[in-house]
Amino acid sequence: MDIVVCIKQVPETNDIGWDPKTGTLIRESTGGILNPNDKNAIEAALQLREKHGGLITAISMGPPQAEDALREALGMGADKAILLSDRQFAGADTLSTSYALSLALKKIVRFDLILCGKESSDGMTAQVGPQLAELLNLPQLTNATEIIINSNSVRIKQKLEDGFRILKTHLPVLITVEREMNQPRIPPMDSIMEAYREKDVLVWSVGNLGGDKERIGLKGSPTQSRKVYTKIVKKGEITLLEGEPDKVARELIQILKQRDLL
Amino acid sequence: MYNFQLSEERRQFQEMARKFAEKEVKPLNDKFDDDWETHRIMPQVLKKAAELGFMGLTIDPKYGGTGADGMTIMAVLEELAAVNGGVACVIGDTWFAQTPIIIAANEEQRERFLRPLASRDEVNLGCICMTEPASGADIEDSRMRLRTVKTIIKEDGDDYIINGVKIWPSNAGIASHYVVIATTDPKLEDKGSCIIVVEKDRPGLSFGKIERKMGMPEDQNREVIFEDVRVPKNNLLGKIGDGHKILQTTVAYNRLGAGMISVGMARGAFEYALKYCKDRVVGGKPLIKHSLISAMFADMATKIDAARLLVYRASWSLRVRDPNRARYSDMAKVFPTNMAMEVTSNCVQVMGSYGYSKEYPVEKYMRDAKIVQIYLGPNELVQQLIGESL
Repeated sequence: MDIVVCIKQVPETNDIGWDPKTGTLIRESTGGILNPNDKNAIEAALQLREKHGGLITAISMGPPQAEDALREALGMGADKAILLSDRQFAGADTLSTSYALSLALKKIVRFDLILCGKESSDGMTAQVGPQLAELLNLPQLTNATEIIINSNSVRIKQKLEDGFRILKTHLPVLITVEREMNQPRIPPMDSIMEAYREKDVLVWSVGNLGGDKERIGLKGSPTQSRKVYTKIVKKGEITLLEGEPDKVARELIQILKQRDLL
Repeated sequence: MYNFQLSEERRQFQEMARKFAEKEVKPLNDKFDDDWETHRIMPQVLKKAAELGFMGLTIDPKYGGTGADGMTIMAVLEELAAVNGGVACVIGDTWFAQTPIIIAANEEQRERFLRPLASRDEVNLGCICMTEPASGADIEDSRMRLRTVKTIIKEDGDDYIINGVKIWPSNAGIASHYVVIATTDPKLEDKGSCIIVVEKDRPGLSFGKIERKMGMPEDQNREVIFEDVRVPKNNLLGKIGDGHKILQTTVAYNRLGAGMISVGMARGAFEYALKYCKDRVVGGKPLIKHSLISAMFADMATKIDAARLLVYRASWSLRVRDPNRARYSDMAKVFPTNMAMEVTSNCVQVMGSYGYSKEYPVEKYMRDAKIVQIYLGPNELVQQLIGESL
């Protein structure tokens, strides 16, 4: 079973800059790490490969330094890595990113399963996975905390706000993975070394992908940030209620009512 | 002149070591003190470390290791020590014992000794046996040319027979390979000196009681006793007379490791104390806002950085075979180990009674830091060597 895992390099800290003109993040100025949720997707792929065999390809779109995230995926155990990198991709929103990824997936041709982390730690839109599934016309199973594959059928346990449900479909499929699905493995030393010394990261540009240039990068991004600002949180006073639980609860209800909060 | 920026590859190793230490070691940190004699916890930690390839980090991939360079090894050591200096020491000491084999073994010996030491399937630790009851720092003192060594090897047909006692070696009793500094005759000084590998199951090899220490309970130190231990001649590294030279090179490669363990421990204590002092309010403001405390942190941060840079410089000098590499390695032992003692003690100080309490982690860093000033050549001896090299 061949698996493609879509990963993203995200800024290492919260101390990130914004481009005031485009409203997009300035990624070049910060250190990058592999999006933590994408590690769960890679781990899920590794566990499925242990059971069912096949190849794992990690794919990412980003500036040249996003290669580091792909090397980390190779270190964890991915077999191949592809980086979509071209200045024309710059400023892409989730739709444009999904479009570029869909072109790359069509070029890869052979895959049974696409895995994505549910969301990135910077954008947190959780849109790329579902959009990619739509563009490839694949069934999508989102927010998975468990994946079971039996022959051609796929079953997941989907996390909902108030519980779980079991969903079933068939391969090929796109699945987005929740963080609680697994504990990403610590890559062994020799695997890290191999990722840097023996494995390659293929770089594909816009020219390699073909497709509609109008749908690439900032031009192909309907999401335009009008204004970017840091929300100022006003800190109020803290009142500690002490005493018997029943009495404190009554007092709390009273206060909330007085302030029209209940 | 030097570029100390970690490459992305090294950063990955560093990150991996950090994750291992945070996940597999940190939750056990308050249990090691009570386990100093029973030694039940460390085998679990070491099993995980071996599985991830820590033991073979310094060993060539040809023999099943990773073959990381000196800077990477130092970056890994710092991360381990930032969480637990004793665990860093146990792993660092197995690399220490591997060094004479890497330097001086022939192809057959490398295959026979290094492959099991790099194993990921089982834990095979190395133990370097240097110090003797009547000869402590003298063995580490290059000027003494091993004339005080009392562990004697005698030729007997195709074998050597070893007799003697070693004290304080790390990993004693749990190691699979004992790398022994010995001599055919102490009067011959370096001309009789040699280093020979003894496998754990050789008859006549036995161990004394486990030493109870102030810190580093993770590291098991015991007497290693050789009573007519018979080993084949092809366990000898190099030839008779090479021991002194191999040991000096081995020490140069490892003194900076002691320095990096100190950097890690100091950083671990510093980070904890800094967070504490940012949160803890005294006199209406966080402790860190008090100028005397702030100055202490500024001083500590500077010294930790300076120590790390000394270690990286020493590592670089060994790689390029700089003529001053032995001095740089000695400097990278003395300054960082003294710095760690000072910094960890200050971290206890700024946290007040909480710093002194076993409920908080900094007192352990302070207890652990003390030994690194002593082992691998006490700092006073190493300072003297630096002085003489100037």
